[in-house]
Amino acid sequence: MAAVFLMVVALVVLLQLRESAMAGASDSRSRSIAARTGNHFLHRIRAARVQDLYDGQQGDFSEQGFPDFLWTLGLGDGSAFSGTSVEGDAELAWRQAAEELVQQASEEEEQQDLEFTRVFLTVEYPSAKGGQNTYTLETLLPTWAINQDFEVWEELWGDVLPPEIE
Amino acid sequence: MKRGFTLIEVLVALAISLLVMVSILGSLDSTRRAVDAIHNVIETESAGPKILELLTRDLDAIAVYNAGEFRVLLGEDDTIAGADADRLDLIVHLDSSVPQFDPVLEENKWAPLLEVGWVLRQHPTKSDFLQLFRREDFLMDEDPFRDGTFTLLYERMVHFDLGYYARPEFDPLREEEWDSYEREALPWSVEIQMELEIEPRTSRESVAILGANRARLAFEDLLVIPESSRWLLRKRLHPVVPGEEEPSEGGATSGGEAAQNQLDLGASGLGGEFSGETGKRP
Repeated sequence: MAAVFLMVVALVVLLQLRESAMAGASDSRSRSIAARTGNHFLHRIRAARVQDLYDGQQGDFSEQGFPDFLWTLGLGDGSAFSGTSVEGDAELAWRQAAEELVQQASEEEEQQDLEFTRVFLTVEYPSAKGGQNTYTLETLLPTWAINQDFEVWEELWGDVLPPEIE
Repeated sequence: MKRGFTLIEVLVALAISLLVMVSILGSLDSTRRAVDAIHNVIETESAGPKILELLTRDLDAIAVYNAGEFRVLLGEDDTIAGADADRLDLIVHLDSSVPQFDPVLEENKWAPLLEVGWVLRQHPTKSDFLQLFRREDFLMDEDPFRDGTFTLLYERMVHFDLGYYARPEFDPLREEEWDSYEREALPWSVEIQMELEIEPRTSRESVAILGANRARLAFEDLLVIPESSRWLLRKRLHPVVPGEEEPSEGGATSGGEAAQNQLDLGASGLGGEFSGETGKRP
């Protein structure tokens, strides 16, 4: 009787371990897909192939075959859609300074003409254990590519360079 | 007095043993399925992204310094058995992944400048698939887009398609081929579309995780070649010996003895294997 009881306990533990391994593999795959689709989206923005981007924009990756994977875009240093949790003092100070800069610029109605814009992409995907997981990407992209301002690209890198650079 | 087991006792013992055996076999079978599923998951998410990562690394490292006169990128449109099987050849500034043994110093050497090629051929036994190879050859020789060491990257490719864009536009024209020698420039971006099939280790769990009919997986990416590389190639930057006079007419890239000296210097600085004549712009 004791042997049978031990056998049952061992089998239950084994099945639980197996389920846990499967859930881990599934989550790992989902995280890889989130990273890959997110990076591809950022590459498309870098190549100026995504139109009308704005801070807080949301969408999904249904075109790539993953409708459960949702994305949220944050544009600019002071974006409220950065998706990152503030954990350290340095991060907090940097965020506050960036937000103040953005606010100051908007108050003074100055056109910020930054060469690069910080972009945050948060991908939300279903977890194997229920609920949602998130994967956050952050990078600096040329501002002309985000705005699809091809005249700026022409001035910077076009075939005819300004005389001073020539 | 000898006392054996009764028939009932033996039957009960056999039934219990049978139950235990069935439980163990069932558990082993489900574990094997789980291993298959995890294998599929890992392969699914490793092969395609790794190929893209390797190609990105090559495109980011195109050797453009002092290379304005030579072909550094050649993209050819090709099909094998009706499937896209484009070919791409590059000259890159990367450490070689395959070393060559130096018999004088008696040690392995890794080249800082490589000929790299992305080539496909039909699978010798499975006609539905293509094999993807990455070619690597030390330095530059007289035929920089042939020969070298071929490394098999993946052998169950369905198609491999490359497209080139000259410049950023709202509706850019996709070109199927690119020759940096004829165009005198690098493409602005390269689009990669490929499809591959994972090894057929399917099981109930893997179907549940991967979804039905997910044995074939499509990957795509859009890579912008660094603007600095394009600019350097277009401006024909080249080494100059201090004190020597620049050619009086035609700019730095025109012919003449000084330009030839600069090219010779560049070739010797890169290892000396390059002949200085092959592929040179007239």
